[in-house]
Amino acid sequence: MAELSEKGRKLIDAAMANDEPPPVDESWGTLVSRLTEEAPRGDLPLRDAGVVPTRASTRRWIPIALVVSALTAVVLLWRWPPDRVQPAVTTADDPKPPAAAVAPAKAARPAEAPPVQPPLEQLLVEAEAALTAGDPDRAMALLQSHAERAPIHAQATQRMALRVLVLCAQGKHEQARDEGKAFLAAHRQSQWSDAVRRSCAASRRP
Amino acid sequence: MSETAAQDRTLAIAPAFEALYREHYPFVWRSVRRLGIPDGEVDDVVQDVFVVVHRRLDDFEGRSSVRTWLFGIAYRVVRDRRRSFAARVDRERQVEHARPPTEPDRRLARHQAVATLDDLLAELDEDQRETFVMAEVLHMSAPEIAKIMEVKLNTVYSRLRRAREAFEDALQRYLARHEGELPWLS
Repeated sequence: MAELSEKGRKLIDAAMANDEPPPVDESWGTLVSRLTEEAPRGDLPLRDAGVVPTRASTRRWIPIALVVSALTAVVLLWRWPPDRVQPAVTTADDPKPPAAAVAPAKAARPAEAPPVQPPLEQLLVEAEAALTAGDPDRAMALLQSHAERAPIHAQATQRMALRVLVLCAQGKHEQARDEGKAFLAAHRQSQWSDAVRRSCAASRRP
Repeated sequence: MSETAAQDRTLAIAPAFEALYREHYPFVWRSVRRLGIPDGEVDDVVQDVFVVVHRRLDDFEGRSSVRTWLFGIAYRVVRDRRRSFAARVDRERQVEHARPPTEPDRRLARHQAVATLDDLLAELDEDQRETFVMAEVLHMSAPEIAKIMEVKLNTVYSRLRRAREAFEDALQRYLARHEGELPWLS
């Protein structure tokens, strides 16, 4: 098979050597925001790329959907008086919580406003305040809430560093050392690195 | 799994994905660009690729290199994206080709080698361009290309042969307009 000419090869090498993408930090911030705040857009080739479940993978979720539906029905029956609960009938095609069981409960409590979740950033502010105030258990609960709502988040680095400090305050030094070591390996230049280095995570194992 | 263990796992996702992103972002960015996505769309398409990567991170089984796996995803995202605005890209190409592709204003802000390579690649058809980019620009093996494109090995070889011929023809036309030289290489 004919190879490329010398000039063709030089052109490709020169182009690739001079084709610099935008700064990675900038694009990472954009991606984190998108992963955190946006649902995947309709124009993505999700099925081709394997993101949208195929028929076979959907079948694998049917048993899980059945279990979730059954557990949801049990919880609803346990939490509300029987006279307010309609029979919860679900099928494998409908893994969502049964609407028939939820709707009457909402109707029975019209004055109850839906719970308002604090902004994600506020959780970290409150966690830090709780740590400073000497309440590491509350700080840890707030950090866990943040992690559950947004595993990937622009402030995930701050959250991980705070978690190390909270573990220290809880007296869980072994776990703090493990997580502190992992944190420093991944975020050596972070503005939070010094705080982690000064914490119990940097102390020697007994 | 205990609550703490589940929490640890959640916390562990971000560094692994971030490390992958930081290491391979330039490769994906260049790949997307060479596959023919217009300048103004490249960043957006790269983000699309990593959204898919993020969702499929647990699916990577190590049977191919990380780069090949990433490129496979980028390849499908680009193909889908290209279909969605193929008509618009065609219009843009027609406008570009209506002007002499010598040293027009659009190249002022870009390196000439990059702009020239993109112009030459634009003269290849879609299959040829993809095969050429994988083989000659990203240095993938023919079996890797066959797997990504889901075609037979012989198809890869024949596409690559035609792609090289088309690329060399386009290069010769470029050189004829520039007195046989690539002035910015000297």
